[in-house]
Amino acid sequence: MVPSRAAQKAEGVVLPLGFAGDDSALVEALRANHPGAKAALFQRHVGWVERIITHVIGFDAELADILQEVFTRALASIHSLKDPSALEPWLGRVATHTARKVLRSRTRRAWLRRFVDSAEEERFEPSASAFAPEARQALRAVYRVLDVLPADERIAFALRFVDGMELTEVAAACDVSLATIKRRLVRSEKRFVTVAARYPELKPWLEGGARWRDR
Amino acid sequence: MARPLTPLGSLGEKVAESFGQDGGARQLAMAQAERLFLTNTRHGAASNRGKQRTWALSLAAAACLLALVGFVALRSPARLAFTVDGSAGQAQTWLAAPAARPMQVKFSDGTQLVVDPLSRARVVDTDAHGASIALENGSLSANVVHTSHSAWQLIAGPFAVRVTGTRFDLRWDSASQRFSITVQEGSVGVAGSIVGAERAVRAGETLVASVAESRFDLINGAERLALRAGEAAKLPPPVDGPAFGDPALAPSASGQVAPEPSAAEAPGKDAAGGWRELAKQGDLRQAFAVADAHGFQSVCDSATPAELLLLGDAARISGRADRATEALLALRRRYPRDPRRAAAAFALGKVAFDQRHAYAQAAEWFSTCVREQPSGPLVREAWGRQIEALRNSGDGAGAQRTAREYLARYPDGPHADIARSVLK
Repeated sequence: MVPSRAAQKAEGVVLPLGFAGDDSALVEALRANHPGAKAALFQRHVGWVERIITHVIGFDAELADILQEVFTRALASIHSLKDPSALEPWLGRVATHTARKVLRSRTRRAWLRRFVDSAEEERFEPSASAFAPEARQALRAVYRVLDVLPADERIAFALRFVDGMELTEVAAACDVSLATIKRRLVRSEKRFVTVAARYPELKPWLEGGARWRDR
Repeated sequence: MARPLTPLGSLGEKVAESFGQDGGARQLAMAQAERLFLTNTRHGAASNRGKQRTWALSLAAAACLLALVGFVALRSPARLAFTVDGSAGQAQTWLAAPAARPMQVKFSDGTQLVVDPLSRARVVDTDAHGASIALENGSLSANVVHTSHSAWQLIAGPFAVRVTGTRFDLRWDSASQRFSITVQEGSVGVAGSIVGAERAVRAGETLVASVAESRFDLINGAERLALRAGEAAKLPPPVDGPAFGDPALAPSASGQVAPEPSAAEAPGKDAAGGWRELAKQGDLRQAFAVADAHGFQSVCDSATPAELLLLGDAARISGRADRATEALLALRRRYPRDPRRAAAAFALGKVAFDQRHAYAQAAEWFSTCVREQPSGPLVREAWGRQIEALRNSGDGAGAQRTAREYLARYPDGPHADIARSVLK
């Protein structure tokens, strides 16, 4: 973060420099508390982590807090990473574990949402005004359906169908076997199709004929 | 991507596309998350669960670690620690001094740096014997503690300063690409860019360099005072720039003598007279452009010795070694008894060395400078540059002879290290 000119004039400024090196070197630098390594960790991998979080949880007003939690957890447990060259998939696991924690926490508070529907609406508010209202409603419906799924099934479904990961990647991100992820996907698909039938705005999509209408 | 080709795969693709078109809110969230992450982890903050695991591991491994640390400590001395305005400092951090006061950097061996207001620097790295400091812009003062193992390096733009225990002031202006170092105590070695191989700068000396103008000066205290007086009287700058010379026009071969300048020949108004004003204002490139546009030879024919030195400088800075040569040779040809002929010889030697890499010719011009003015202000520098030119031309014997002469006259001179290296 670059200090403002006014701030710089008032006080001296000490800032960490950028870090250059591959992920293995980055992990070593993080372990050595290299001051520029934390920023490098975030800047290099936030795109991948954010995609996982957003695909699993949906648009969320607390996205910044969730991302911050993922990277804080990663930094705290960096010493447990056995293969520094596998930093990215390891971060994927940290992201999915954090997403699971958030989902389960919200499930436990689900009864509150009956009284704060407006808050949930605000949490889910696609800001893309380029989409027609029908498309925005369909997107909202997708995540209402996903809200019904158990957290582990929801994560598997989102990583496979929304993020487009291979089955082996989904298994690695969820830190389970391939057989387990296949079972979760079978269950999640059945539940999704069953619950989605209650949302007419999703019907065209599930029949494969829907098209987004862009403004 | 490997989505299955099913309705659910198609649905997933549409969902992902919609996310991809909402870059604004997500980008803001990522930026906010970065600020939170870097702020909250600045002092090594970690999750409670992580801290508990770390604590347990520390207890279990404490005995082994103590033995290991003790062994390592005995084998390898610790890096120097330092503080920045009283707070613990870390290598690889960027320092920006405020406008109102300097920034104090103190090292555990007693070395102190004072980063001047609005200046920026970096402590690149430290080890047991010193540190590497980069001055990005502005100035700093250093008081480096000297030991037999001291090894400090400062980097300012394209220049590297090797320090073994000194007090000095360093300045680097990244906008104008000007470098200067003034040594109050001890010595440093400066290398890089136009300076080339390492040159010693000793107590009482200042090295100033301009990357944009491809020139540098090594000035001792007396000469610095003389330059200040010259600047005040708007005298032309000292000629240290390159100019290319023809040894056939050395004094021993000279047969053509032009009369000394008289008031009648003093430069008056002429079509190219504007170059003089531009040169006095310091705009040498434009001055050369005007002079060249109006017939450089005719301009040289009507110029005084001081103006010919200035024209030579202006041409050199403009990248025109041929015109610089023309101006300086004109001085030597038209004014054979003018003391500035020796300065022209020195300048001819520099351009032969620095730009043409004609080292044998350069050596001859430096020798000419010494011969024509054995007690002049440039003689020490000419002796030193002659050593380098002879060495580079492959004349080892000549270089050694000159080196011995140099050391006999200037045992602590700026080229003393080069002279000793030639004699090894």
